[in-house]
Amino acid sequence: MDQRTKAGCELFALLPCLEELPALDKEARELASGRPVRVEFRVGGLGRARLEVGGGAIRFSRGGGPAEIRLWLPSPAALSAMFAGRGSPIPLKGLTRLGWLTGPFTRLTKIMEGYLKPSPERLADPAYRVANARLSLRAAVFAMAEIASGDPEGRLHASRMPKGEIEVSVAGGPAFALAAGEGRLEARLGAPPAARARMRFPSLEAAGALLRGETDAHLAIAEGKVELWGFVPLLDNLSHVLGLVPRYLS
Amino acid sequence: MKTYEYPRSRELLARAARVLPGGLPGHLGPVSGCYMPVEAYPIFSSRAQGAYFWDLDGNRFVDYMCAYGPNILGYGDPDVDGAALAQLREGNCVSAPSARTVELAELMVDTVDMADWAFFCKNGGDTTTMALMVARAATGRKKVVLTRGGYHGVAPWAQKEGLPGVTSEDLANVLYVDFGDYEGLERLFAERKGEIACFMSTPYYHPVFVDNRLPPEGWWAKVRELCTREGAVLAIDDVRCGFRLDVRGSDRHYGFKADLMCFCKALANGWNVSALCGIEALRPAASDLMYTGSYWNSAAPMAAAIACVRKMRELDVAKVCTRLGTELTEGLKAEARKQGFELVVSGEPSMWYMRLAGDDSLEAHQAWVAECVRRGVFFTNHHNLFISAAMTRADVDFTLEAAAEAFVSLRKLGPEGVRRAIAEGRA
Repeated sequence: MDQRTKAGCELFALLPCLEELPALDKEARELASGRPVRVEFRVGGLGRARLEVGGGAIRFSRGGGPAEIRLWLPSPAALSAMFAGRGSPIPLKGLTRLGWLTGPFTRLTKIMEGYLKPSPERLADPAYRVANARLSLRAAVFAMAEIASGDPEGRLHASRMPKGEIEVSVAGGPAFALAAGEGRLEARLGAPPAARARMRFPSLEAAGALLRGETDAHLAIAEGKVELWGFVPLLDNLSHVLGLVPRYLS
Repeated sequence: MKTYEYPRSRELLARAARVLPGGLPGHLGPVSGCYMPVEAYPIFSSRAQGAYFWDLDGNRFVDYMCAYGPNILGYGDPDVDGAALAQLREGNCVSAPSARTVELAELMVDTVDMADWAFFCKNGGDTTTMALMVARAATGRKKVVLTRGGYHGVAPWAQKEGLPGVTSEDLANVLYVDFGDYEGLERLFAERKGEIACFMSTPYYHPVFVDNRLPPEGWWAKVRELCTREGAVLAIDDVRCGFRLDVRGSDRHYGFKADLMCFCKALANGWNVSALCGIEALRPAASDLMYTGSYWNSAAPMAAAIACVRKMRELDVAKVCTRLGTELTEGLKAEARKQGFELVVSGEPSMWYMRLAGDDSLEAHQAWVAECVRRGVFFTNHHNLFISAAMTRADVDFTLEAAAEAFVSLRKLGPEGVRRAIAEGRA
């Protein structure tokens, strides 16, 4: 496992999933309902990202910008330590706001963790299953982009992908676009206008079952529980990148 | 025409899922990328005869995959099966091999122009791996040059780096060149002077998902001369093309002589035997190898191969399949044009590859093929197809009727509409 890729998945695939929480979870909605607070993460050797929490919503953006709180992590390993609860960021700005960071913000991340690390008891709740599927799918799609640019095997598969956009979606939503070409894979929200290949799940339940490993991926394809359609060399190589996701997000 | 449904295939797949990885693994399985959408295809067969197979729901298909190549004379050919069954009554997998081994080797040497000897295995991949080992043993070198996108079986050395179970160490001695790029091949030989044991290639370029390419003018003559000059073995993987271009070997078809030729698929019309044929100079190296398998001397498949090769020679089967393939593909192109489509056909007519032009995502082609399959014409999406000598003009006419309806459906509904119709079980 490549440490920088792991941190990239945490910063650019997991952290953005916080955006989904207010729609999925009552407590998260309440925690996000106050006055907006912007937190910028600066990670040495990786990059920057911002979260804006407030007004009932959470918004993620890649890159730096104005922020009330600015946190510094010297390396990708330091970011991973923070995510694992074994390390703390260095506050560069917003020392007076640390209570918000250790309070509501930490609670939001704990709520998200709860949705992304299911237990059999929680999976008995249909609403939880939907939330888990939604968050897992979003995390997996954006993680694929990080893995394709960072992990050695991921880069190999990305280098074999011809140019084109892949739609990864669930009937009725959500939908994502993965743009492949020139050895890169870039993820974004929303279906591409002209997909060259599609991976479509009939339901969030089907997507969640696959991502949780409850369904064998090959069998799911054979049974039509995930539809594959379009330029197969894109899908074939994408499936190998998807196979690397558990290495980074388990 | 009636459109098919496959409830019994789906039921059996559910049972298969409990005991087979992925339900039905390998290239015959739905995850190979050749069945899209999977709902349009049968998964299991119940019986086969001649040019047809029937699935578990009793649907009949004119089979243009021919079991991915082996079915060249027709399923259940009486001469081939009769020979195999007669041999089964005498003995099959016995501690001492039968005389069929020698008879088949003699027949291969007599049939295949380049062959001075023959060695028998089970699968095509057994012969490609053996070819590599013979080349290494004969030259004392390690490297093999393959063509990018070529397929030579599933041994790790023949796969791609990064695939599950394949390591970079497995591929440490594999070099790649584009098919037809003589300058690139010459450069590799110069850069790796004295290191290359073998150049292995199919006789023409027939990968999946892309147009097939015949050898460019002069390619094989130059490659032959290069390998000779550099002391490398020229190995032709004739597993897929073998007997379909020329019963005397595809190297002869393209006007050169290989050092090693790999045969499988059509060799015994579906009975499981493969063969590596070689020139005299490589006999000592082949004799020295430790290379064997429990079933490799089974007599019944060899009896089948003897009957099959004799019949292929009598029929001049390559000519028969080429003629039928040409008639069919010209007819398919004409039906496409009637609905405003252009069908692009490439490769050799007896085992052609096809796709729709202007279809960047391949979705239109997948939809059209799916509609053909639902009407009893078994194509797969992105693999080359095959003709068997059992096919008749009536089969071609049936196929063209189904293809025409499929083009009409595609024109009317578009790819997404066809997909929805299939998912909803509509005609």
